[in-house]
Formats: sequence, C-alpha cells, structure tokens
Amino acid sequence: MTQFTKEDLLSKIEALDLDESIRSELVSEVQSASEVTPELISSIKDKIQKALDDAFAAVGVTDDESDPMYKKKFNEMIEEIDSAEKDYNKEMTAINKEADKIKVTASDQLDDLQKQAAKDKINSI
Amino acid sequence: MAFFGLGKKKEAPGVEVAAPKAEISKTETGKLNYEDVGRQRAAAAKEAISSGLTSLRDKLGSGLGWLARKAESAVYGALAAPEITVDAAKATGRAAVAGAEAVGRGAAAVGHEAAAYGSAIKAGAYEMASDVRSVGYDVATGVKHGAEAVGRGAVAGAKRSVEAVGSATAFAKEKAIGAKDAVIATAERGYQSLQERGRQAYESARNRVEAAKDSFNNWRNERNMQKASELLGVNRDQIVLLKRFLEDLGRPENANA
Repeated sequence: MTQFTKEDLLSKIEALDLDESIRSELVSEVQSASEVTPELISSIKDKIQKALDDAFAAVGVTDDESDPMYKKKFNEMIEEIDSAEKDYNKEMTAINKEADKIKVTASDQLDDLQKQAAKDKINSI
Repeated sequence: MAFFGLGKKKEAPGVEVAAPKAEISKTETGKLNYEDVGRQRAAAAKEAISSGLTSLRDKLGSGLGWLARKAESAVYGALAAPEITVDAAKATGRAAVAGAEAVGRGAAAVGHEAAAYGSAIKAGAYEMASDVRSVGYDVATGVKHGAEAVGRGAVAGAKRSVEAVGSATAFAKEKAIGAKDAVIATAERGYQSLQERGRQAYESARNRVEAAKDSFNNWRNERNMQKASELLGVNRDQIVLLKRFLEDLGRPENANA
C-alpha cells in the first residue's frame, strides 16, 4: 500500500494541464484499480513522464544522447536494472531450490508414514 | 488549452518491445534512442520480476496441493490397514466358533455311537449293557460340554481379539492423522516462509528498478527544465507541476511501500 488514496491521485491528475485523452486514460486507470499499489503508481509515472517528454519535445527541448553525461546516467540506470534483476533471479533460484527440498522432504516423510501404517497393520494382527 | 501540445503522440520508435535485455536500438531515422531503450529495459525487468513472483506463487501453491493430496492418500492407506485387520479378526472369531461347533457335533456323534454300542450288546448282556450305555451317554455328555466350553472360549478369545484390534485401529488412526498434519504443517510453514522471501525479493527488485528509472528521469527532467527555462515564452509553471507530481509519486513512502 502507498500513502496515496485513489481520491488523492484523481485530484492531482485533475489539477494537471494534460491533453484530455491522456487525462481520461489516467483517470480510468486509477478508477478501475482496486487500490493504489506501487505498480499503479509506476504506471502513472511512466505516462506522466511520457507527457513531460512530449511537452519538452514540443518546445524543442530534447535529450542530447551524444552527451557523455547522458550516456553515463543512462548506463548507470541500465546497470542498476541489470543488477537488480540478476540479484532477484539468484534469490528466486535459491527459493525454488528450497521449495523443491521442502517438497522432497515432506514427500519422504509421507512415504515413511505409509510404511509405518503397514507395519502397524502387521503387528496388530 | 493544453500546454505545448502535451500528450501529442511521438513518432513510433523503431525498437523491439519487451526486449529482455537492454540493447541500443535505432529509430527509423537511424538515430540511437536511449530513452525508449531505457523505458523498455525497465518495463521488461518489471515484467520479468513480476512473472517470477507469479511463477513462485504457482509453484508453492501446487506443491502444497500435491503434498496435501499425497498426505490424504497416505492416511487413507494407514487407516484402511487396521480396518482390514478388524475384518481378519472377525473372520478368525467366526472360524473358531464354527470349529467349536464342529467339535461339539463330533462329540455328540461319539456319544450316539457309544449309546448305539450299548444297545447292540443289550441282548447278550443286559445288565452290562445298561452300564455301558450309561457310560456312553456320560462320555457323549462330557465331550459335548467340553466342546461347548471350547466354543465359548474361542468366541470370547475372538471377541477380545476384535476389541484389541479396534483399540489398535483407533491408535493407528490418531497416530496417522497426527503425523500427516505435522508433515503438512511443516511444509506449509516452509512454503509460507519462502513466499515471504519471494515477495521481499520482488519488492526489492521492483524498487531498485523503479529507483534507477526515477533517478535517470529526474536527471533528464532537471536538465531539460534548465534548457526550457532559457527559452522565451515557455509556460514553466505547467512543467513544474508535472515534474513535482512525478517527484511526489516517486517518493519512497509512496512508490515503494
């Protein structure tokens, strides 16, 4: 959960000077969400950023992709995303192995349980 | 009036959507388009980690379901076994009763035979025959009583056996259910712990991807803001509003909670 409520988001979106089609898309997305989640916030951010980029582009302000600083910042972002995904995959692999281990252990224990039941049967006759 | 054509569609970028790894692609004009690549890389990473968490949840859910079904099956086997034992004990009891009854019938036959023998010698030695017949009846009666006692003993023994097996069944049932519950509870706790670990890993990765993207965009926005402010006639306030909203949304307590 975030600190924003749906009403907070809707009122903030209404206060922005946005193209009507973008506004209605954002409003619709917020209204159809069951609650405000980080994923919803991220999606709204992406759309607002796109609107902002378009606004800059409309007045002739664009990124200079040949700028070394731009490349540096871009690469930092990509490296961090790669690193986050790599760490995540590593952790998920470990978790999956743990899950397999739990399943095998429990399965073996249930097999033993069945064997014990068979022994109990023989002993009780 | 919308500000400077906000929301105007840009030219469709000439890059592949949802590329698993960031690759610098080119627009239709052949120009490198870092912005789109960065956006796609972040989107692909978010999709991948979200999908990873869903897969983990599916795996843990189906794993626990499989174990629960196996546990039920194991317990069913454990409970069915003593029931079969009870049936066997009952059959033993029935066989013992039938055997005792056969012995009884055999004894009666001996008695009758003895009586017949007594009758046969009646003509030749009447006094003696009377004694023999009396002995024959005594023998028959004794054997019959003995056989009845054996039968009662067999029935009582079988009954005790059935009761003992019934008691063993209840114990085995309790033991099997307790063991099954313990196995499943342990597995469930383990799975819950892993699911929590997975959720934390997902949130951590998601927040890192989001923070990396925010950091890059914030830097770009600041830089472009600087450029825009140098231009005449630009409605700076509106850009500031958008930028502030973005920054507000990107605060850790809001975006990464």
